[in-house]
Amino acid sequence: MRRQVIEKLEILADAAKYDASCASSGGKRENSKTGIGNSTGAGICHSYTEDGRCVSLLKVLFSNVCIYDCAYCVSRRSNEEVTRVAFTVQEVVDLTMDFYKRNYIEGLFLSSGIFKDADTTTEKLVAVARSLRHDHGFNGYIHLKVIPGASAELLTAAGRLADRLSVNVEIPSEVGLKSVAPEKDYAQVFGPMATVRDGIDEAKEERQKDRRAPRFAAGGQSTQLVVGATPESDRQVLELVDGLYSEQKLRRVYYSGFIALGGDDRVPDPETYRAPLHREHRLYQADWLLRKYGFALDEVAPPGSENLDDEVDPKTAYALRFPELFPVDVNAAPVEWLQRVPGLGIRSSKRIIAARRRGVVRWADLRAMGVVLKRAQHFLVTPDHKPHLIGQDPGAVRQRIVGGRAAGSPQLSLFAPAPLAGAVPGGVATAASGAAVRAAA
Amino acid sequence: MAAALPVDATLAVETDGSFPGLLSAYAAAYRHGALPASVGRLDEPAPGALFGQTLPVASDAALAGRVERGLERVKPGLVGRLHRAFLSERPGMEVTVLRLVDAAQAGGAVAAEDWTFEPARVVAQWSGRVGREAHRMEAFVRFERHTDDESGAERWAAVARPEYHVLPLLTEHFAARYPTMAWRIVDARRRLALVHTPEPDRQPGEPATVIVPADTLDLPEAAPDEAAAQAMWRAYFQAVTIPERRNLRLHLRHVPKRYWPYLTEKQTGDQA
Repeated sequence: MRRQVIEKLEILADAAKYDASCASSGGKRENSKTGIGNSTGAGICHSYTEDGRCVSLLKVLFSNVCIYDCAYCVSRRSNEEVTRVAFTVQEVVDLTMDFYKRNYIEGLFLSSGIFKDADTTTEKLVAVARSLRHDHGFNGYIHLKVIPGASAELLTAAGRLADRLSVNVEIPSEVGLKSVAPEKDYAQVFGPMATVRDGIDEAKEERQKDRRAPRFAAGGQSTQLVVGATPESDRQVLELVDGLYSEQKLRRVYYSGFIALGGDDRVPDPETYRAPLHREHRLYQADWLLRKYGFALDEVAPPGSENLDDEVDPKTAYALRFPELFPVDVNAAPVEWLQRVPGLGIRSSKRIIAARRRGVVRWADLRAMGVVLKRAQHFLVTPDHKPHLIGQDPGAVRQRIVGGRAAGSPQLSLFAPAPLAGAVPGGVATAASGAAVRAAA
Repeated sequence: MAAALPVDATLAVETDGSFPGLLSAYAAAYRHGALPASVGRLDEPAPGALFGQTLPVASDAALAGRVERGLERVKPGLVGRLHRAFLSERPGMEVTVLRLVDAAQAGGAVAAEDWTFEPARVVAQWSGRVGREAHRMEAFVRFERHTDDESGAERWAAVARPEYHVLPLLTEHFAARYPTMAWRIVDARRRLALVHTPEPDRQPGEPATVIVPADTLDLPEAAPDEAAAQAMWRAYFQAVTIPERRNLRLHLRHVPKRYWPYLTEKQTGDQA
């Protein structure tokens, strides 16, 4: 029996691993005196895979039996390479509790192949969440995947039990989606997404009036975009993303550089295709600028442009496109402007503002504050540092920043998504979110 | 607010080594009119004590509480930051903490946030490191289930080797998360254990979590299903890696090797 579960676990975790989301953040759920678990709001990565991605949740499919035939998906109907298995509700519940009590995980991220129809599949996911919450007093994190086409009643039930719901857009254009997933269209994705959004809004409003009103996916909604499987440009991807943040009010968009496993002609062939990990990294940086740094879409990816600059990060690229806006005076610029300087992050900008209140910030102070001088030196003025190159020759600044590195050579070390938003008590950002801030700085 | 105190190079204070003791020492220094150049322990006479003046300070909870409340009024969160920096156990940190307490008292919140002011920066940086280590412990601690053959009682035990003395910072997190479990976390470096007793097994008035010398504890055998649960976790960990994306440099940055001996997923499981 045990052996059987371990084999299922191997298969269904392997099938779920291409979903980039692992966040356990955003929703604060307190434990009761007799319950087990909580979520702290900041999220915790309990381990990291050898590819450097955060392991925060037990991320598995309920079943990898699927009636759909999406070319980018390993569980597609026509793929004869995989063994088809399904957990029982009890098995997923037991695994979650066994792992949670040992402090291996923050909770469960449950998705599934669509083994019969949307509602039958969603019922199983909801049954797992319900058993965890009601039979085991589980107050850890639960992220449920919304199956496109699921009924509003089931979505409501899911939202009441889960901390986060997500429905994956997967392919960044509808034309692209239809070319690789014949049974899917955008209406199936955006319908449930809007239902969840309205549910979240409504619950928020209710809870403002009455703190005991039921929660609804308090950690918000997220989605994933697969890049590289279909030919959309970065500008197209970010246009879509900008709309997802402003209209669908998503908390997070994840990017997943498509990994070709072969066996399907509708997507690139692994023989000639390399996973666009560098591009994925640049998209995360651009995403960070949109979400956290107050950049507008057109500033990050100008209208009519194709892909992001692969030599320099999007913020540096912006500064090089608008050299007339720089250099910026460390001792005078408002915080919003400091944050726009390449090499400065949100935290280092705040530190500068705080130091300014007591005196003049000099060049030597900046390094200790966490400023990346290699980039920032061209864009910042202090009384003892006055760069002139950006005003005379932005091309030379680019040369200096790119250095000897060949154009387009991959810098993979930071491609992983920041799994955590927020900070540990006292405002110390976690190592992981710090890495992402640096990535965007 | 009064002006900042001068540092008296010949003054040393001695405390009981606790954080409230250090805050009590600030109150004493304030009354004395100068900050000490060194902070020693009451139970370990300092070698240089012959030359200067030594001020012995008893830990006074009420007094420390007043200093804490004063600091929290100046800058919410500052006490936590000072406490974390203190737990770094770095030589000289006590004096740095006292200097920042004094600067906050005299100059308000701006002094505490000014990274061009050395004590503010040092405390913020060490508080960050200690906080990060505590956060890593919240992530990397791995409990094993142990069961007593006779009573059937369950014990959940973890061993870790944190760089800094973070056990006091873990209390709240784990007590809120696992209130009904009898768990303990052993700091193998300091031979200390954070021990939690669930409510029904506690004497009235007994605190839920205490820090005790690890050598005083005993532990029943690992539960019969423990090895299977660990094997399950290792299988999961293997399955979620994407070989095409393997990036050991990034992996090591997130999980430095010093944590590996205590991580279930990094063991071979041969004993299972």
